[in-house]
Amino acid sequence: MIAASIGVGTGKDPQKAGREACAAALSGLPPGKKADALIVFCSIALDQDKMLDGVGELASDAVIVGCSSAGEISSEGISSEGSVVIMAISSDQVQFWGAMGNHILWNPKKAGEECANTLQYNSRGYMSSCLTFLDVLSGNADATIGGFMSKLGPSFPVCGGVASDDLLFFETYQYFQNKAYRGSIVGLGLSGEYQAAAVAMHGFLPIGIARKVTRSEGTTLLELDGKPATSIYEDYFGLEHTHDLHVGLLPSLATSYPLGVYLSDSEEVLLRNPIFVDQKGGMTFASAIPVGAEIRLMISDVERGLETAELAANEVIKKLNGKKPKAVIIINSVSRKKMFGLRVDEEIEVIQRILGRDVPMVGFYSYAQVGGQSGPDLQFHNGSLLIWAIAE
Amino acid sequence: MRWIVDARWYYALLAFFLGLIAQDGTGGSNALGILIASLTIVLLCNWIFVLAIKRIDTEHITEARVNTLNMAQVGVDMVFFFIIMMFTGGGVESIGHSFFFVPIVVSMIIFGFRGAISVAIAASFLVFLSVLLHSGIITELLIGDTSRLFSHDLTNVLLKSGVISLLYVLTGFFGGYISRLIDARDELFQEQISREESQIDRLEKLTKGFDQSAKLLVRRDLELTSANEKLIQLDKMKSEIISVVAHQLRTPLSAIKWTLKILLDKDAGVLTDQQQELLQKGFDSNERMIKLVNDMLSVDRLESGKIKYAFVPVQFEDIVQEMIRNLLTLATRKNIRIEFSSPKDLLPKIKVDVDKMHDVLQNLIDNAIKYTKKDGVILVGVAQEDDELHFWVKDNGIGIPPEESDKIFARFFRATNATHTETDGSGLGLFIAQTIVKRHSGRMWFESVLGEGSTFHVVLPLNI
Repeated sequence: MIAASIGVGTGKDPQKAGREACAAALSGLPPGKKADALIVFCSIALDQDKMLDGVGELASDAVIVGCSSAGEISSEGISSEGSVVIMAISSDQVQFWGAMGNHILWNPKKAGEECANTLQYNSRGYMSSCLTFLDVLSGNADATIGGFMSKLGPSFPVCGGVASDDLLFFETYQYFQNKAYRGSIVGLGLSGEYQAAAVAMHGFLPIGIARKVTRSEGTTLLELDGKPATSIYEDYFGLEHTHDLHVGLLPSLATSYPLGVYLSDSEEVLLRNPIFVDQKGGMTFASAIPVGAEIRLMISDVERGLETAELAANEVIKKLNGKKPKAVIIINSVSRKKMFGLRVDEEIEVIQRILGRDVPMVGFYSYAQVGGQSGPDLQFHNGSLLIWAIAE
Repeated sequence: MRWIVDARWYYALLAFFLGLIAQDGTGGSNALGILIASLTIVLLCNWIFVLAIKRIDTEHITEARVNTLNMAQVGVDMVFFFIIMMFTGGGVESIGHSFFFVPIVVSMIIFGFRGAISVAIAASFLVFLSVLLHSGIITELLIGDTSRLFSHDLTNVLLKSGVISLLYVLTGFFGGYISRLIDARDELFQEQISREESQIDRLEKLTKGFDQSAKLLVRRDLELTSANEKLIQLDKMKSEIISVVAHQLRTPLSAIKWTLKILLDKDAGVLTDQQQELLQKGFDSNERMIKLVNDMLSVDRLESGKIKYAFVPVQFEDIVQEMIRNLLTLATRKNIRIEFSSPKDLLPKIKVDVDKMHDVLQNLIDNAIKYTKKDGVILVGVAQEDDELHFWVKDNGIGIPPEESDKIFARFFRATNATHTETDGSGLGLFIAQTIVKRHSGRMWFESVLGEGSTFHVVLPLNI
């Protein structure tokens, strides 16, 4: 048996919101069943530690993981802001393991390794898949995930999302048990009998001419066609927004228009959103963009976004061999949230229509998505909708 | 052209050495001197040709001058090869005449058909000249001796030279022909290249145009996105205000309700008929206000996610019948008949949240009753259509003005004719109904003719 239920908490009192959401989530579990794991996504508008105190009051035994968000998703409220959403999962056939790696700022690789090692140790090596939530604002996310995967093996099924902070690009939080951490990576390992599927898709199309990466260092893209990297946005956004681009608002503006990275050795296009912009026109991303890659501005619209959601949800069902999911986690992109605007709920409704309107679902809008693609390598990507589902 | 001068360094030396090997030795050191001097002159000329070609490359020299240069090259070659021929014995026995194929082939390439033929004829002339010189005929003629002029030997030698000339002309002819073919092909290629170049130019212009359009599109999209964000913020603020106002209103409205109730129930003393009537009006108005506030709070709860849906399998037609029963009193008051066309066979069970679905059905049937005139008929139906369940409510009421049809599901919207007919109503009923239907992964729409009536449809998927 795998049972899940969700709860939504709102209001100005973070502790009360956390407690309310947790109580609602727990109340939906079968009678007599305790939550084994709680997955929590919360707006940074609420005090993170207090919110987790509220959650912990009711479910101190459960493994609690999650992160801060830029908009919360749930099967009840669909899409909301300034709220906390919680999924409680209980099962007698699946075991859940929690872990955390700290100090991404100082040593991102070690943080990833530490988290994976703890998961492996706690599960005695039985862990068969895992979810992860991490910070990308404080350190090299490629290195963090690299460290994480180095301990689990390159083909280990991992998916997850990058914590966000309402498009402020200042500070994100990762939740482990009853504490909110910064610059960390948290993981939720699963072992036992279950079937899980993760599918990530984006509906963005290239617009305008391609530019070549002529200089990049680590995760910072310095030049495109010999010009400062930000020139691509300056050209397209026009003079009116050039000022915004240079006062640190570019990451927020650029979320609607991710950059499409076309690598010479792959047909797949990777989407990238900048998270920092320096005064010289360099842009920092969650993941590196190699020299020689072709870059194009990407754009999409609501209809295409809805088609993508339908495709992704159908693919999840296919991967689960037609089985109905017991719980669904949505790791959506802030780019898609901006693109959908007032119609943001429609995307979630499409997913619900396909996966089941009575299937508990929580999620959040993230700065980047991890995994869920068809390729063999685990990759960071932006602008995507990642659906994770578990079935018996 | 450059390749000819490059090749000349080699074939001039080759001709020189072949000349040395095949010399007949009759000329002695003078002949050798002439040969070396010829080679030196040819190499010097070639160097001049190299310089001339460089000038052609850097400056825009006319075609006529290029042709002159080419003719000079061919001329130098022919004179040089004539000297080689004379040095190697002259006449048809000399190997020198084979060198004349070189200028013929060269002219074939650079001058084309006519050039090749002209050079072939010139080469033939030089061979004849060489034969006549070698055989001494010219010397004899100059001293007036014509005895050998018609001799058998001379005829023989002239015939052989004729064959060589014929070979030259044939080479020139076929070479010229091939040259024409090559020229035609080059012309075709040139045309193709220029066509493709103009295509590339066009594509580049188009790409630039598309990029420009892309920029405009992105800028417009950016403006719309930012306007949309402002709208979302406004919408959020509006919702918050409504939520706060509704919460604040509920308590005093309840207090008024119970106060009026106490008075109406005569718990606070006997009332006159007029007082009773006035208080009753106050009570009814207060009830309407409470209904409005409750609707507002329902919307708030629906949007904030505080409402949990409990999907349970139900017999949908049972809920419809129950709802009709509940609203029958209201309909009877206006002498409205509600006809329910239930399906012949039992419908498959559908998973819905019963309480929320009650709200949907109540809103739709209640609206139909409100906006249908006295003695009207309301048709309610439910049927299975493929893997969906279709529920509809048809009235012969006031209808919806076409220009307002796209706003009918918006919050707080009431059609103009509806406000005139029925003053009560929050404009939230249809919004609530649609929100609930959407949460059930269903669709809701309507058809309407102004003054004749409306039909509201709800379709819910069965297989979820």
